Parts: sequence; C-alpha cells; structure tokens
Amino acid sequence: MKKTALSGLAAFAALFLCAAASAQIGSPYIHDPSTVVECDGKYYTFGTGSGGLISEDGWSWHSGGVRPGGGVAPDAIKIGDRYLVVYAASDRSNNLRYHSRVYAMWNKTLDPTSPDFKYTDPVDIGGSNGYEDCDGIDPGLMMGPDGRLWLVYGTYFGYLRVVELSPETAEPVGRPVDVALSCEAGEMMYNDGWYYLLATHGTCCSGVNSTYEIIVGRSKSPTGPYVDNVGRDMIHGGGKLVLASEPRRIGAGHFGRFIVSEGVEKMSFHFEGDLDRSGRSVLAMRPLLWKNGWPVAGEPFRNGEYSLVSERRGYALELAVNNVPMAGGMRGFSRNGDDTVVALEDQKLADVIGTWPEGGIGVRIGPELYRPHQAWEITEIPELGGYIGGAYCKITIAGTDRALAATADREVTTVPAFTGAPEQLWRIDRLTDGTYRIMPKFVPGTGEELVLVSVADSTPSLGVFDPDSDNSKWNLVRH
Amino acid sequence: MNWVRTILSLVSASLLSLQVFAAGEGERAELGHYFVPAAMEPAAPDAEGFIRRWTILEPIARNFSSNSMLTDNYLSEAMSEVYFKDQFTVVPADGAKVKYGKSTLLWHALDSRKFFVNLLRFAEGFGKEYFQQMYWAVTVIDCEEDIEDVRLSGGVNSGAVWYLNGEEVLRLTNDRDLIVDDCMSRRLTLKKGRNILRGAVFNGQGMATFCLRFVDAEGRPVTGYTLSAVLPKKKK
Repeated sequence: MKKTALSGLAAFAALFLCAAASAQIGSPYIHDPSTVVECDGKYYTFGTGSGGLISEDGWSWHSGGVRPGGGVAPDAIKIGDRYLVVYAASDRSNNLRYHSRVYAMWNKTLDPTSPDFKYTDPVDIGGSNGYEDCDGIDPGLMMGPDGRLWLVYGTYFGYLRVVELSPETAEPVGRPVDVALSCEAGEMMYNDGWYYLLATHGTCCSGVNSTYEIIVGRSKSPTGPYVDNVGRDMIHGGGKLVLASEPRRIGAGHFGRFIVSEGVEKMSFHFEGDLDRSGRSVLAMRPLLWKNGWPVAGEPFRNGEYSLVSERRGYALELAVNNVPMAGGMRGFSRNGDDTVVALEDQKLADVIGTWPEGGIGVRIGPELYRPHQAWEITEIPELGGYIGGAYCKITIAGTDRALAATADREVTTVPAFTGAPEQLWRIDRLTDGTYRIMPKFVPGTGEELVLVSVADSTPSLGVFDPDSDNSKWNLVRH
Repeated sequence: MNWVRTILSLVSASLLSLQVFAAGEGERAELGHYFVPAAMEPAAPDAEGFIRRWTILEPIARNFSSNSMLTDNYLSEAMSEVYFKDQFTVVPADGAKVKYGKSTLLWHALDSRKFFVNLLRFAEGFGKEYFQQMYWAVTVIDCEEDIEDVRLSGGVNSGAVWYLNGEEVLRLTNDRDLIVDDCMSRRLTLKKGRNILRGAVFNGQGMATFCLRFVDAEGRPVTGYTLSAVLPKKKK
C-alpha cells in the first residue's frame, strides 16, 4: 500500500508539474478577463469586479491592475496613444433585472505607477433598458481594418448587439443591431476579409461544473449576419466551437485576441475551473491558429520527445555526428513469405552515444530516420521565465543533458550540459498556420530577435523570422 | 352558478387578452410583441419549418435553482410526476383550465411572431412567475399523407422533453442554449391524419425559449402539413 501511495504521489506530482507548465503561473485568478493589452512592455487584463492582472512577461501574472467602476466583464483596447476600457454594470434603480449599462473610460497608460495614470470619468455608451430581449453586459471592442470602432454586448437573455462607436470619444454612432441569440461574452475580430464574432454557449459561473465554451461565426460585415461553418446564423443560435475544455481545465470563455506579430497570434480567455488550482477561474492563453478561414485554438505545448522537422524540406534537426548503421541491413528482394517475421528494435541511445564527441557538437538537418541523434526532448522550465502564452523550454537530445544553444556568431549548436543560460532557453510559438517558430531567449552578442531557420535543406542557422517563408517554420513531430 | 362563472371568466379572459396582447408602446415589450392569438384557420409551419402555433399552459413552479440541474435523471423524474389529468393525452382548448395544487392554470393558444417561442415573455405577459418554471406546450399536426423519415429538430433554453403521439422522441438536457438544430430525434413518421406533438420545457434562471421543426433526410425543413389549436366557439 505504501508503495502504491508513493507511486500515486509521484504520478500526481508529475501530473501537476506537467499541468502547471502549460498554465499561466503566478496568481492568474480572474473571471471574465478582458482582451490582454500591452502597455510600456507590460501586459494587462481586467476582470469582473474591480482591478485586474499585470504581467511583466505575459507568462507570470499577478494582481495589481487598476480599473475603477466595478461591474462585470470589461474589455480594453489601445487606440492611438490612449487606452479605452469598457465595462458593464446593472442599474437596479428601477428593480429591473436586465437593466444594464456599458461604460467607457480612457487612460493614457494602464500602469498604475505612472504619473500619467488617470481614468476619465465613465460615460454611458449603451446597454439595455430592462424590458428588451437584451442584457447589456459583457462588452467587447474591435477596431476594424478601416479604423472604425465596434462594440458588441449582451448575454443569454436575448440578443447580442453590435454598435459602432466613435474612436475619438467611444460614444455610439448609429443604432445597435441584433447579431446573435442565446450566447454571451461577445468579442469581435477581423481577419483576411472576414469579421468574426466570438461568444460563448453553455453554463457560466459554475466553476468546475461550468459548460462554458467559445464559439464563432463570421460575416463580411461587422453588423452581420454572422454565420457558422454549417451555414447557421448566430441569430439562430449558430456557432462553430473554438474551445470548450481541456484536461484539468473546464469551461473556456471570454475570448480575446492578441497579435504578437504577423503569423503569431494568441487567444486569451478564462477557464472557469482549474482543477490544479482549487477549481478557481484562471486566465489562460493558447495559440490562435487559422484553418480554412476559421480561428482554431491551438493545444497547449506539452513536454515530450519530438522530431524538429523543417517546413522547408521536411528534414529533421539532428546532431552532426556519424550516422551509425543499424544491424541487419538490406534483406534482399525475395517475395518469399515463409520466413518468420520478427520485430527489430529501434536504434538506442546506448548504441551510438559512445561514438559522439564529448564537447560541443554542431547540428544539421537531415532525412528523418528516428535515430537517437534526431530525438529532442523539449521541456518547459516555468521557473526560468516565459513569454506571452508560454514558458521557456530547454531542448535536449533525449536521454541526455546535451542542449541546443544559440551562439554569438548567430548560429546554433549543442552544448554538453544544460546550464539554464539564456542562450539555451527557447521560446516555442505555435504559428497561425499550425507550424512552430523556435526562438532562443537570447543570442549572445546581439540584441536582435532571431529564430531557428533552415538556410539550406540541410543547414540550420539563426535568422530573422519571416512569416511568409518556410525557412522560418518547424513542425514538432511527437515520438 | 357555473354558467355565470363561465361567462364572467370568458369576459375577463377577453379583457385580459386585449390588455396583454397590446403591441408594445414605449419601452416595454408586451405579449403582443411575441405572440398573437391562434387563428381558427390551420397554419403551416414557417418557411424554415418552425412550428409557431402552440397551446401553452401557464407555468408550473419547479424547485430548481440552476439550469445545470436539468440532467437526464431530473427530467425523467420531473416527467414521471402527475401535474394534471390526462397530461400526456389531452388536447387542450384555448382557455381551458388546469387545477394544479391550489392554482388554476389556463391554456393559451398562440402563434409565435418569431421562429422560436419565448416562454419567459409568455409567463410575464400573463402575470406569472417565470423563473424556476415548467411549461407544457401542445400542438396539433394534420397530414394529408404519411410523411416518412423526418426528424424532430429542436433547441431550447434550457431543457425539454418532447413527445410525438405519446412517445418520447426528443430530450434536451443540461442547460442548453436556443440553437437551431441542436438536437434531433431518431427518424420518425408523421402519420396521415392527426398527430399530437407535446412537451415540457424547463427553465431555472434567465431566458426561457424553444424552437422546433421537422426536417427531412437531407436536413431540409418539412412544411407539408398544417398546425391547429382547439379554440372555443367564441373565437369564430
């Protein structure tokens, strides 16, 4: 029993470490988070109630954001050199349950320590009068490609509505339009000629029993109709699922889009219940992918053994060592099926490691043979920091401590042992097309942001990321 | 005395109808914004196949605080209770009464102005409580021929059980949202002649709505039948 108990404890610890590594760290406790906004190198999100979260790196989050007004489900956007923050509050003065108003306020900065930090007085910019089939909360903001600002609001109590706002004052321009029915937590975004309306279906505010899920429809116009992938209008309850739950985390809602750079996007949201954090509601971030014109939630990165396959030719990153042949070789051309068929073992690390040099070993790219010199163990190290949406990783040859490292001459090599040095830490971003960008945290001797590239079919290096070039993209093929 | 009471009841019901169906003026959306009284003439489903004619019973209070309680077991137990006489067979007339506990509830034959039926506004319009309620609804379907291989397709906010000709054919559980074609029945036959579609919708908090239609094997709306309600002669 004791052994069983210890095994169980170890298994739980491993599970927790694995789970924790793919969740935001610190104290990311928030409900109904706004879109994450960057301000002077820090990241901010605001939630229901007052206040919000701040992060220095987009990975470790702590309380400290300041948003007056209370209310529910705020959203935030940067317009010019100002930040617009909206939130909603119910007006109980006339005893109407669904009399809710959206308020807007501006600030020059989101940093509460800045001398410029001062919100303007909140201004009522819309909502519901308590009699309508609309509950004017859960505001979401979007700046369209043409510089027009849009607000969506509403809940399950009737319709979600879209109204245009003045980007100078945030006051409404025109009348609200019903765009969706029986959903809430709306947010809009624009991509490649389409407007997208993100919202949630399912049960809110039930913690680990929540069935919150993010759904999407799209339209050629910001005022709809927003239609899902089977042609169903969101005004008929339509919506294509983006994300519901994942192992250990329940109830995804309150989508926000964060564009890191061209080809690198993240989605922020909350899980209503994080089983590794007492079932509390937490901020989460995942890669935002685009597939056939639809947003897709990328899976969280998972530690494991991978081949690093270049999108350029399909070859795999490998140690530049002698290829040790496997025993057996060619078995001839006979079609005789009478021979006994046996399974041959994979080549093992122990079969080859003795042939490798002990010091630094360079890397190259070659045909994938699933050999030990091509097997990379990728492990998040949350305690060594992170970036927006992820923790830095070490990339080692599986079964060894030999680590991939950036060099001062802007090349890439391996060092015999991982030390935690910043040039041995790697940022792994899932790109919008599903491939990966692999970027060292630090390249000695340069302040440039460089990524792992294929400069030739068989030659890796470091270079500037080009979202339009397969030289900059990699696939992680799990072993 | 009974006939006097009946006349008084009809008069008051007529006055109530005039009042509650008044189209919304000002900000408040009145019952007339959502329903009109069912007409004597049979109606067809709308172009998208949605059934808009229903005879709906004023809501019955249920003690459940959260829509997430609307599990399979909850709905099974709820539908095993007896609420009123002949609850699975009656084809109620508009204005017919049901005795439930100390309450007297009325059936109302209505045509929804929308593709869905807004039960919260129904209850509110008749001055009834609308949270933590159960709503019975019945419609009469007449077919000139058998219509085979159709499915009953529905969405509900938040849970429901539906019966065709006395057989349960569709159940929507677990705090659902009003989504067209959220759930469908197995393949069914709408038989030549009269078919009775009835069900009960449950809602704890928030909006209470449902939509139903029949679709064919390709998912296209079925519209080749008529819908009717039983109306007292006074409406002729």
